[in-house]
Amino acid sequence: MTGSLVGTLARRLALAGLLLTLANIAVISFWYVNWEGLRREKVDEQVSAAVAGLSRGPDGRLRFEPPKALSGLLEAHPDAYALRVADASGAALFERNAAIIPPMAIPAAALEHVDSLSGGAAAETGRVVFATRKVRLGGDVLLVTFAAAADPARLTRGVFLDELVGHVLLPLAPFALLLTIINVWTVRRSLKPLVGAAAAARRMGLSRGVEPLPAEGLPDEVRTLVEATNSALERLASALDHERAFNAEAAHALRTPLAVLSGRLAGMEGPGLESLRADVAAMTRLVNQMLASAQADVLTVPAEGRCDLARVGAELVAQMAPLAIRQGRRLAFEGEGPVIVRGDADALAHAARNLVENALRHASEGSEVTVAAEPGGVLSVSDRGPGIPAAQRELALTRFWRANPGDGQGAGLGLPIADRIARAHGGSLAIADRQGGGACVSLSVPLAASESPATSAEPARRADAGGAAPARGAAAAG
Amino acid sequence: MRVLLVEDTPALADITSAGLRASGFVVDHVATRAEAAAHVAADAPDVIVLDLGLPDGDGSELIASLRREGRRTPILVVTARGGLNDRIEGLDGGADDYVVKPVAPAEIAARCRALLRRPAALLDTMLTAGDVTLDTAARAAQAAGRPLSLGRRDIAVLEVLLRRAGAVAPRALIEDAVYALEEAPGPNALEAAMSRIRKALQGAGSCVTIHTVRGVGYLLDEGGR
Repeated sequence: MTGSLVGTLARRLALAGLLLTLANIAVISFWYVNWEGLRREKVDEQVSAAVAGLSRGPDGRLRFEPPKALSGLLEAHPDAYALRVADASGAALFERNAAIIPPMAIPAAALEHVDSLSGGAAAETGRVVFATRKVRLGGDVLLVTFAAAADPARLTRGVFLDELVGHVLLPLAPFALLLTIINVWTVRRSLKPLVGAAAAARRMGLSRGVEPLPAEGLPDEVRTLVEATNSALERLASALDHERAFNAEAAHALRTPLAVLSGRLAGMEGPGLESLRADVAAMTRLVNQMLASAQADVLTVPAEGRCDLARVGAELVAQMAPLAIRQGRRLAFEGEGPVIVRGDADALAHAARNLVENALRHASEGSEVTVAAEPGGVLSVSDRGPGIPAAQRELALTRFWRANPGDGQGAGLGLPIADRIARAHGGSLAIADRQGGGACVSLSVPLAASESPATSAEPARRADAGGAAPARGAAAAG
Repeated sequence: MRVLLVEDTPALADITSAGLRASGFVVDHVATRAEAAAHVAADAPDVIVLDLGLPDGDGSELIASLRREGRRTPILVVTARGGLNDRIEGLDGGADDYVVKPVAPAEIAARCRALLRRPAALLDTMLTAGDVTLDTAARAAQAAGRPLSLGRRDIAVLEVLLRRAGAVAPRALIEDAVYALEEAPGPNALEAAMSRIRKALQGAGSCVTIHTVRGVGYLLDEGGR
């Protein structure tokens, strides 16, 4: 992946638009700009600037004071620019660097037929561009002439840039902007079905089980891909359904004869029956664990499922405390208030039950097994047993693995079941050492999104757990 | 007490029927959903023991249709399907209790009894667990034949424990039963009461013990097992 396709396409199209605009400017500059015209315009602009310096004094006589920018220009470049202001008789009112001004720029006759005059003339230093304008001020007529033999102050460029901005960039910019917007919009719109399909694919997996990706409105090239994916998903979904149906059938097929068997044994008297009953009980447990393990593989958790880990932990401790006491161990719960996670209370309770059974089996006689609900969405079970060595932790999550094979305890399915249930929730199972000795197994599940507050904590449905409610007495009892 | 047993596996039906009869129930057995519906309409049993997987349909649909008809007959679901998250089918469908096969006939009988006397059980005047008895009317308790000298509150605490003997009585439940709203108990009041009760039991030589389940509540163990 190299980032969003929409972003990449939009960036490239915007860049192309910019380059085309620049090329357009270049072409216009070199082929269509009338440089001679621009030069004359430049000179004419200076004449206009000079006219602003004309005034009539308090004595009624005409006066000329060149504007600052203009006089600075004349001072700085005596070889390049010249200005002359004359009255109708031809007498100069103001003259600076006049040597540059070609004679043809100063009309001999009183300009009766001419209002302005401009042009170019050959000179020793090159081509001189000039402009003369007839200005009427009250009853007087004046002639203002500006000439340029060269352009060291780059006046022409300024005029060119003004022209460029005024006649090229300004008209072009809205079109370029509009084009860019249309490009981005088109790209987004065309790729919207693809984005939708990707989002649907992302949503899958965790919560919804397998659903086909939306193929409507996709371009042919992408539709082929999506359709191929969908047909693979369909096969997967039917395999999952098949697996679930098989699990349900298997549960029925296995548990019914076991029920018959244990029912018959319960009604019998005689020697050796106790051990037979224990065998059937162990067999029943194994069957239950294998079924749970198969169910955990195909477990899906609805996205809107909410449950309170603290409640799950407290109810589990209440339920399992009698068993722990019979085994000569203690069971305790620690937690501060509800921990609302996205998940299924029954499945999480099943996972935690496996962890507690495991811990009780390994905890030393008389010690305490602690179930704790932590605010980050973690339900941990800690014991004071021998612990699980780091090298065996990964193995402990594989099915049928047992630390002490042959001790007749457990089938090696408890931790793997808990692990699968955690993963079906988008969480994980972690095995660690407990401080002071023993193992601490933590089940982490994502917290429920904060915008959906803790409204639907599972109602207490188990009669035997009553309102084994929260950790009101976590600190006090003991 | 009449039990309607709905179970399609003949061997299991025989064993369960025998177990229920041994516990003093009158048992009628049917094997299909249709028969069950007909039987309930004709005979109104006191409690129904229902297998969910039936040859002519799902048992949970039977529960739903009975509840729609307004029948409140207690229903105990016995299923082979119990799993990670399909318990919902049973209890949320309107059943009153739920057990997963295989389950001993004696357990089914015990659950039926519990369903039948649920409201009445709380009104028993004499509570017994192990060698401890408590007369709820006289507010007096005995252990191993000797009277326990306990205060009014401690007797109330012991009563809650006895009612849930063998199971955990959550702290909140005990506090609600013993202390009125305005007299909030101190953090150690309950633990002090337990300590007095334990001492009294010990003094009487009782086999009953009270276990603390830290963070959840207390458990009265009948002992002698």
